[in-house]
Amino acid sequence: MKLEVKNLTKSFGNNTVLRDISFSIGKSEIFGLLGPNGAGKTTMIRIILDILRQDSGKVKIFGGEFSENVKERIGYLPEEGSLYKDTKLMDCIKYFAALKGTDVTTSRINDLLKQFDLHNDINKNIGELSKGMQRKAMFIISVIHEPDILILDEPFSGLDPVNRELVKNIIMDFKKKGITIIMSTHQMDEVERMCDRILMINKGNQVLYGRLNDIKKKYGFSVFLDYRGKLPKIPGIKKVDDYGSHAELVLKKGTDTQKVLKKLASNVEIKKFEVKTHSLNEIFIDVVQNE
Amino acid sequence: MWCRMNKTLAVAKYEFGKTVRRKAFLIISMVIPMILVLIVFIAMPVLPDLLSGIGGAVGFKDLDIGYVDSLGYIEPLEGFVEFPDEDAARKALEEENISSYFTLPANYPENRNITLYTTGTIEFNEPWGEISWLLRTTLMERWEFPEDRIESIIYPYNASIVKLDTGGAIGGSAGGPLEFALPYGFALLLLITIMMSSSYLMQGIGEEKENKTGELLLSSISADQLLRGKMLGYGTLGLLQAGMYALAGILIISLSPLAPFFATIQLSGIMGLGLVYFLLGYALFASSIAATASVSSSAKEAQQSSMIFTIMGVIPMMMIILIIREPNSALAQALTLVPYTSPPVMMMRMSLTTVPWYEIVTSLAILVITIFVVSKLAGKVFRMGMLKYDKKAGFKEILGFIREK
Repeated sequence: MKLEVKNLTKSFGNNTVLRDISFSIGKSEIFGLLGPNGAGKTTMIRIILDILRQDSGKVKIFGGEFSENVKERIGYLPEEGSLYKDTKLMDCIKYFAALKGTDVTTSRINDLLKQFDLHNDINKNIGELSKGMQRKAMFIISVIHEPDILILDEPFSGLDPVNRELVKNIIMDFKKKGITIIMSTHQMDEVERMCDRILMINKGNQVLYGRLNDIKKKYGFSVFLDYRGKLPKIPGIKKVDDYGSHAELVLKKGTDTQKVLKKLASNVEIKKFEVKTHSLNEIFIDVVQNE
Repeated sequence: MWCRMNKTLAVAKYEFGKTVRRKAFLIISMVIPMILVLIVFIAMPVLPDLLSGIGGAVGFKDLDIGYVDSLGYIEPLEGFVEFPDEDAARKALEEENISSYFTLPANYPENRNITLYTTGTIEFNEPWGEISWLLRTTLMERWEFPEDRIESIIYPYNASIVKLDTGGAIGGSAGGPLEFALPYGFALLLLITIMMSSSYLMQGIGEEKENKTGELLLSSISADQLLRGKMLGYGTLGLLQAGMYALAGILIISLSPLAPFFATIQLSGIMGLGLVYFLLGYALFASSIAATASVSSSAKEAQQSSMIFTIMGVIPMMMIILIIREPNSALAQALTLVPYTSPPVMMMRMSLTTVPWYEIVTSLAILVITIFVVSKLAGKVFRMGMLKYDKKAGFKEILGFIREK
């Protein structure tokens, strides 16, 4: 395991922001760290980076305790913040590489600048770059030292659709190269497309953890229905969104979809009957609202 | 260990390079001293004329002094011109051939009355020193004093000064007011350097807070390394600036008429101790200001919050008259023991009196202990403060920062 967290708890004064959190992440995995604002995600990331210390519990990185060498093997893209506005892009990248203990070559920097489409801005001051370009520059800084673990906090924030796609492809390339990626984001569609496993924290508690498909299955199914007639009352249905000729039926856990189909067929004319797992967005809202 | 040092040096190098290239730094550190040197360089040849111009239409220094001697007492001497009568002397004065003239009346031996005529303002003791010297020599020759006696009376001593400490032991040479001026200037330079370095540090942290760069930095380097690197970078910058000012000062002095006096002064151990006080004073102010700046939300707010340290830094300058009057007073001793005021106050006291060794040791010990405690607290506050954006941390929150593991 690249990262192992066991029974981690952290408080600020009387406010417990993380309570008994446990998870592990393996090599080449994209791991989604999810939760509403103020859930404790940033505190979790700061503890992994050793910026903050936990009150109790264990964090093992690369099988051991945190050290100076470990810090140099982790890359981090924070959600907020920018670089030094009056410093040239090249100098800024070199400075942060030095802080990571890497004597980076100019060709490595140029390769990354090309990859992120910033090669024409090498001699510009950071302040002269657009917000999206600055975000990409920060991304370069987070990977300049070729980390084994890459922590990305809202990696798509401030990017247009073209650059979003560019960054997404780069992240997938990193995964192929064996880099472990922890991604904290509110972009649930990206999580569904990219993440292998997720951990959801709400109010400091671990509420969901595991493979995305397993979680979805565990959360049950929805039926998307095109029909003519009047919908009957069906047992095992948690929620009905009825639009007259189209309806979305949210099923309770363990409800048999065949029984639902039979009941519907005997009462209305069915034009379309489609069974789908819940979207992560729906699960997210459901978990947060019912906590 | 080496890696940690390397990162600290990388921060120091970056902060130094970033600030040293700024226009504001170049203007304050290089352009202003250069302009001052240039002004002195241009003004020096014409300075005596300018000064004499201020004194009046005719200066006393360059022109001879005239006299009308109705007794025939005075033997002609260099720097003086004899006139047969007052009309001739007055004409010479009007034509600016002499700076002034005096008359020696017939009853001079009885009442020693003379009258001086001048068109300018009498400055300091001019021209009475020269006139006294002339008349003394004249009278003694007239009274037939031996040549060597005359010289002994005119120049009664060849002075050398020995300074004794409080125990009565010889404490080295005393160079008069200039020996005070140099360490005093050094104390002022020390204070300016500490304040300037700390101010650059505060500005740097304030900008990082505004840009929210702290989190990215702390993911690569520990808060202690970051703080040490910044202190080292800006401290070096302060020393560079002090060096530039000192160099400009030396150039100005060497161009001025005071150059020969300064050349005789030997820099004593006060300078070595001054460097120790600079380093300790800077470490104290820098860590205090870094912690304060890190809990502020912007550069402007950081400046306002750090004002308390600036005020503490200038207290010695506000108390300067009291310290000069009584360098061993209870107030001066107390200010020597207060860590935030001790560096400049100790410099001032040492230039005025012999400060007992135990006071120096106590002052240094208090300073070192305070730095140890403040830097520990500052490190904790800085680590947490750098992660807090948008809002200034309150007192309760800062206590929480200190309690953080």
